[in-house]
Amino acid sequence: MANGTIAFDTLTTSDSVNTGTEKSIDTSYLLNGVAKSHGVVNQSGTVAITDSFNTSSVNDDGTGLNTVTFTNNMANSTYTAIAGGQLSATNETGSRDWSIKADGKATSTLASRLATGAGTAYDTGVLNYTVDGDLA
Amino acid sequence: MTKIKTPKFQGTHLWDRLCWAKENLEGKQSDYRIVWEDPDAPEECSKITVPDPNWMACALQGGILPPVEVYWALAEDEAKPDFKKHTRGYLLHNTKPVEAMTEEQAIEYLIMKDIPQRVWREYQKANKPRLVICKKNQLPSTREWRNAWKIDENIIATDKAA
Repeated sequence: MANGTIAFDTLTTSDSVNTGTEKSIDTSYLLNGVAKSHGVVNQSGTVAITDSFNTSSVNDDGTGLNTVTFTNNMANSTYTAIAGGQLSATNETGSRDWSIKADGKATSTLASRLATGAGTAYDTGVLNYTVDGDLA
Repeated sequence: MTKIKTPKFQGTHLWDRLCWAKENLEGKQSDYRIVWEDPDAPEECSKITVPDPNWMACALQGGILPPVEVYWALAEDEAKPDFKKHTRGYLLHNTKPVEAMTEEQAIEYLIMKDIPQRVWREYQKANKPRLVICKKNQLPSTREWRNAWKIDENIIATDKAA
């Protein structure tokens, strides 16, 4: 069967299983609610991008420092960005603190710093990031 | 293997094109890296730009990415003191997409898109090298003294002479 397109502006459910009260949602909410960019970056050794979406490049700016550049700019710099570093071994303890740099958010880039719980800059094998907000 | 044909994307939202590419194109891990230094921050270590594999697949495929000048126009808008929000995002979506590039052309495009213009404009007039395209295996394989990495001026001088 060939793939096709279903176009609709409103999604409605009778919600008969739960409340029995019909509910509707504007499909633009669905689009606006999905992540606009995400990625997994290996900061150890030679930096590499393991998986991504809406990313054109990642800068290795130094220990624990990265700048992600988007392919489709965000509309403004008030978007939400969340990231975290994964511990590198099952027996590793402590925490990894990810911060956006003071001037780190622009519509085309997101600059950040990863550190240990003690504040020391740290390169992780798995840096995960996701960005939500409006696209340009 | 037959190359999949890119739909006519001019006028299609760039983000939708990226969704199509993620679904239909295989990512291309480039061996190229761009090492550069910011003339406005000479005390900082060298930065290394890593091309994204999905972006590289779009560049090689053609018909997906907008011309780099579109990004410059948006950057100019954002640099204005009263900037709040992009009002010319349509440039990303409505401008005719660029044709397929070679990997080397894609790296040149990426330099002009993702690296500040002050780094690569008038590059030849700089009194020290501040941008090098190299292969991944030419970089140190460990992160030792990462914050002290600098472009080797002697190596570049030799290359220029050649």
